[in-house]
Amino acid sequence: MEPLTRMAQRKRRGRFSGLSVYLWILPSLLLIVAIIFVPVFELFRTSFSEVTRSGLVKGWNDFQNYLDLFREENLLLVLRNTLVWTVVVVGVATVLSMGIALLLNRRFFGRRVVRSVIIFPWATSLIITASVWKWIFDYNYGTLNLILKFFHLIGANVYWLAQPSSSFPVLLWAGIFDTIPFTTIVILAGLQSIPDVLYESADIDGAGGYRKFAHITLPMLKQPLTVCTVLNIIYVFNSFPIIWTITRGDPLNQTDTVVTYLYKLAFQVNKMGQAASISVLSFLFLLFFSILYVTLTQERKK
Amino acid sequence: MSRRGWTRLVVLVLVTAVLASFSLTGCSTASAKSSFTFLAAQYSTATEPFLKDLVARFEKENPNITVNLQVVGWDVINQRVNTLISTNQAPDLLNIDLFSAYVNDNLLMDASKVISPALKANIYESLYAGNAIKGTTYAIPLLSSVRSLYYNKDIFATAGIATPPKTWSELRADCKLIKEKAAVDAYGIEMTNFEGEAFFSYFAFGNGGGWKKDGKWALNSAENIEAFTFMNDLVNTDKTTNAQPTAINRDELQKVFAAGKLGMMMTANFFPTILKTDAPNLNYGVAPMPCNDGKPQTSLFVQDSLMVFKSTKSVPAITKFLDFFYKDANYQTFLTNEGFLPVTKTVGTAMAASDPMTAEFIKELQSAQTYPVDDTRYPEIKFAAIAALQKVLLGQMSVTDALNEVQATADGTT
Repeated sequence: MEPLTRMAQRKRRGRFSGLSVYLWILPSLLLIVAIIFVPVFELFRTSFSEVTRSGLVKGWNDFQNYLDLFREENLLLVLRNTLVWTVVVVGVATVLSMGIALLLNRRFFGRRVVRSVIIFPWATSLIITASVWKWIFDYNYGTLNLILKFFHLIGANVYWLAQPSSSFPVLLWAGIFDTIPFTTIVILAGLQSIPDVLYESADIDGAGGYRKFAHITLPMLKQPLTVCTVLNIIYVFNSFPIIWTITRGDPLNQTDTVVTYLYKLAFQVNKMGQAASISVLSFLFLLFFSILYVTLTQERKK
Repeated sequence: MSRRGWTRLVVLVLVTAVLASFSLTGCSTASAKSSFTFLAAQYSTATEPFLKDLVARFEKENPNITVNLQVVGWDVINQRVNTLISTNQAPDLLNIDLFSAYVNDNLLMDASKVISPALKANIYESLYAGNAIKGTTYAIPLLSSVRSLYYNKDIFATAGIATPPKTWSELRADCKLIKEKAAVDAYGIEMTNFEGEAFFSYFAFGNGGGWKKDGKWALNSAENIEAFTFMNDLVNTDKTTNAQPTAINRDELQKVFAAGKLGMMMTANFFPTILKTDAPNLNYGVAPMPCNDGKPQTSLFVQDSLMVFKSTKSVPAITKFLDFFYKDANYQTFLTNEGFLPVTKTVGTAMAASDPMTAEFIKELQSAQTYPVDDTRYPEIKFAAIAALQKVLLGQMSVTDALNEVQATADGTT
């Protein structure tokens, strides 16, 4: 059977050789060019151009957008926030997801229900989950204040979302909460692909729970963990709705990340050129992680 | 033929018929029809149904004109217009608040070339002239709103206050009384990017200050410094306002007022329309804005306008549409739906006669001032001013330092 299929394959490859291959992928290629390459090109062009407040592009302006951007007093704060946001959300979400995935990998009553429930926050629109969190932490009507007061844990309502010292942790928590489902599912899939034989032979060798986790589970999960971490970094770095819905990056840009900050530059103060220049920088950052992702997944296939 | 075959045939015939009718109308319209796009802002859920009906009736009266209506929410309208302009698809007719950036790029048509003489004569001269940039009016006033003091009569009774405050010293004393006796926040202030500029204006105007003086940015004027020291005293010394003005926006504050948990707040004359549905039993009153002792009574008004882009090819059709839109019956329905104040004399007189509260608002409008909307840098300065006052309220900077900083931004010396 084997040589025959191979021959059939070769025959098929022959039929679609040369130019006709490109002809077949031409429609999708055109689509990709139209919806990815053209906007990216426009983005770069805008970042190097003077753009008036009403949106007219006036042409090359000697890197002025970048110079202005680096002079913005809030830029460092925003970059620091973005770093904390991305690292904490992805880091904590991965650790929590690992625990949840290990739990869900065991057999227990109602496992199916729990497995489907875990997807809920992911399946719901981010704006909806973020609005729910905003209401929970609201000063005047928030359920959290209500519960804490009921149990006499606080005397008066707490203004959770007023100061970055408490509002940023709220944002982080909302981010983590929304990152867990995807991460859990990826890790769970990884866990299920680990053959039971490995654990059985470890049992025979007398390995304990921790050693089994450190020497079998974790190494076997290396691929799924890298994949979901790289993807999460891209998603979380780019995440706009949570912060925008809950604090709008305020007060005083103290809870802004790059994405909300560039939105403000573009659509609140109408500095489209500067907004484009910070977009270019985050594009390059994300491009790096995308390349990393592709390299890692390609390696896996080999 | 099988049953399935018949269905297929019927569908085929129907599709062909529909396609044919499309191409037919396409042929007949090409010759005489003119059309234009109208990008309108969404004020409430009533806006779109009203405008759709308006356009339908207009098109029925003028079969050779097509209006492509798009109603867009306030949170995205700027973004939409900017995108349309940068891709050379500017709307023909636009309804928005700020337009100096478009004038600066020479995109707007002189309004007098579009508006009919009869309509122009019916619009309050001060409002029409108020939209002028360097002597030319590019935008036709559509509606305005004026800010007043809204106070909860029950809370005032509990605190033993008979009449709403007229001066800042009365305001300050009343706030203390309310906080003490009624145990609620006495006075609502917001200082966020949502509408902090309104509260900047209330306090600055109320002390004879403002955004500009003699056409130049005057953000750190002595009047403004005194005004914001007063504001900061209410928030941080007396602690009689809502606790964190930098963390609540006007709409959220209005909900607190509607829930009967706020003594007073300043907001626009569309608030009664909201309260009618949200809190029909709230016992509240409306009074002119209190101003500093010895300063003339003034308030803030905001005006939205209609403007025509130079790229349009349908000026006569737009002129006709404007006459139709501002026709007393249509225009008054629109304003009553949204709770705004009229800019035309005939509807102004009619609405003032039918409702004493509207009459009072129209009176307050006469002495009110507005944002420096004729300056292209206003959006930028606005956010800088809000940030400066946030620093003051969060205790990060003194009033003088913060205002000096925003003045330096405005002067371009930073």
